[in-house]
Amino acid sequence: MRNSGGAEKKRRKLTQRVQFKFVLAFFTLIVALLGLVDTYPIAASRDLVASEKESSLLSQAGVISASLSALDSLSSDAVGQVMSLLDIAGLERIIVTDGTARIVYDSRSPSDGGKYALLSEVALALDGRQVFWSRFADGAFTSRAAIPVYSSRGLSGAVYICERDESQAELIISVQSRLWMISLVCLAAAMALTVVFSRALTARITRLAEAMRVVRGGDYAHRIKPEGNDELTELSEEFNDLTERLETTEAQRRRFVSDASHELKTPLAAIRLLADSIIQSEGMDEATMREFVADIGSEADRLQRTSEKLLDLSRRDAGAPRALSRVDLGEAAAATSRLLTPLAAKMGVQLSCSAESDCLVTASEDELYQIVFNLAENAVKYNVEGGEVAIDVRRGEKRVLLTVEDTGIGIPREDLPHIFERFYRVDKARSREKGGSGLGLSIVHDAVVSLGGEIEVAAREGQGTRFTVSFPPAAEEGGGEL
Amino acid sequence: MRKSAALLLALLLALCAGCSVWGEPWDICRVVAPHYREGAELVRFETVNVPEGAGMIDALIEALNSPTEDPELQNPLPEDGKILDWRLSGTVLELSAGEGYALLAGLDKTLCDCCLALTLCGAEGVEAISVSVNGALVTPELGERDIVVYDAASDAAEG
Repeated sequence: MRNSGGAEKKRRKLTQRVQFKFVLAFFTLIVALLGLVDTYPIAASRDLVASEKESSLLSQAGVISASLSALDSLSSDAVGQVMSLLDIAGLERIIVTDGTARIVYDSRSPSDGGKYALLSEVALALDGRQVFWSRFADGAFTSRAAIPVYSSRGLSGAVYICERDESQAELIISVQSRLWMISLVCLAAAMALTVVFSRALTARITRLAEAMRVVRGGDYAHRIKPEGNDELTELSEEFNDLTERLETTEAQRRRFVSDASHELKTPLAAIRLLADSIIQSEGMDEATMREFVADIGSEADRLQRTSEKLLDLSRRDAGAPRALSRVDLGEAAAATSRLLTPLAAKMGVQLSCSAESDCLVTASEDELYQIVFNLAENAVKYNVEGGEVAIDVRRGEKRVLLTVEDTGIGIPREDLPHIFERFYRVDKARSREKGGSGLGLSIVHDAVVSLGGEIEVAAREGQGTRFTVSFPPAAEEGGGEL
Repeated sequence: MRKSAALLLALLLALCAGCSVWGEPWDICRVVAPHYREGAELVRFETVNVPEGAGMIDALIEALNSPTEDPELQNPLPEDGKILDWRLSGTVLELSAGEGYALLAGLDKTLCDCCLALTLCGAEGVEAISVSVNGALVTPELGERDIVVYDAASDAAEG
């Protein structure tokens, strides 16, 4: 299955889906709870009834046994007379046996008199024990009890009684039926709510996954609308932020590629034009030819510088490791000043440098020199005849400060936010004339930030520029890799 | 194919012959051990195969004298009270038992008498049993109609 983003959506079995697992878990829980609610009260009620019946039946059997204990022997006539005097009601059957388990009295079946009663209850009673058990089945409580009969001569027989109670059983069954009915209704309602809720939950997750597929397909402008105010909302908002960053990064990448292509293409075009002019011009004088060749050399140099800076930026972007050590920023400033003195003299700019001692910074030596050189070179190049450039290095309270200040042409206020962007040039024509590529300050900015520093620019148009760079001071034992 | 059919037929005939030699199933009445009586029955039947015809009563008596294989059941006959001989007088099967049978009393005697009656009555021509020891009658005629056996799981009567 393909969506609009072009990515394939995985097919999942029903049993693998979150919604199914959610519904199944809730269903199992609800069924377990309802089962407990439906069975425990009924079981407790049955136990209560059984307990009551045990007390009642044993009591009645005791009355019969006590009444018969006055007889020396349990004969049919004597037992029949005693039983006729007793007012025992509500029993299914009463059997009285002698010591050999022969029936001397049977309330339900008088013709069974004289037969042997092979009942386990009678046998246990003839062993001198009281017996009771009750069973709830077939819509009734069936209870049996048996106790021994003692006469003056000892154990003489047994009394066995049986009761069948349908009314109490009917009551319990009725309550159970109602409980089951209510439980079924509750289960249906709970499952309906569970399905609705789980569908709403998984639908949001599915929409988020769909949005991810769209963005993965290249549509970085795609956003989803956050719903509600829960963790999924937070996830949606994070997704939108991430996509916005992706969109910005992609735009920057496109622009960089476009600018880089243009910067590389321009000197190549110039070289091509000059070479064609030489080839196509017959009888060109030597001086003109030398001039053209010199221009080709200049453009080749520009191309080389741009390529080197692009490579540097690329390495920095890739996070290539570099060796760090404790470097004296003051010495770097002094070395840069010495290096730029001939250029400054040629341009009629006065270059000065003042540095405190022990202004140590944890950096790679080449990188630090590059920062100072790029700032100082720009200050010299974009200056005026008779202008000044001052390089200053000193220790602040918690930072090491580098200041490069000039009295040059300055930077317009509207250009200030962009001067650290790659390929950005305030005056393109003047920059080309000076051999600039628009990458120098980008390199300075990225290098300063990677060393834990900060860079600020203060500028007034027509009155010069001041760059202030601050670094954290080097630790006591420096060195390491970033 | 013909050989297979002949072999199969021979096997079937042998099985039938074996069945006739082996006899028919018959229930031998045993007493439930005291430990298992609560909430259950007092007597239970154990099925054995006995030959049909003349040898049936001998086989039943031999089974009654033998111990049971079921750990929940007991043979009510004492060791010195086994059935030694029998004679069919009309429809009454007169049994002659060892001296130990005469010493039985109370429920124990009742269980022995009833197990003999419930097992032997129903054999061809037997409607009741009686038991004598050394010629003295210890148990007068006793038939199935003289015994009430309840299934502990219901109110069903009659044994």
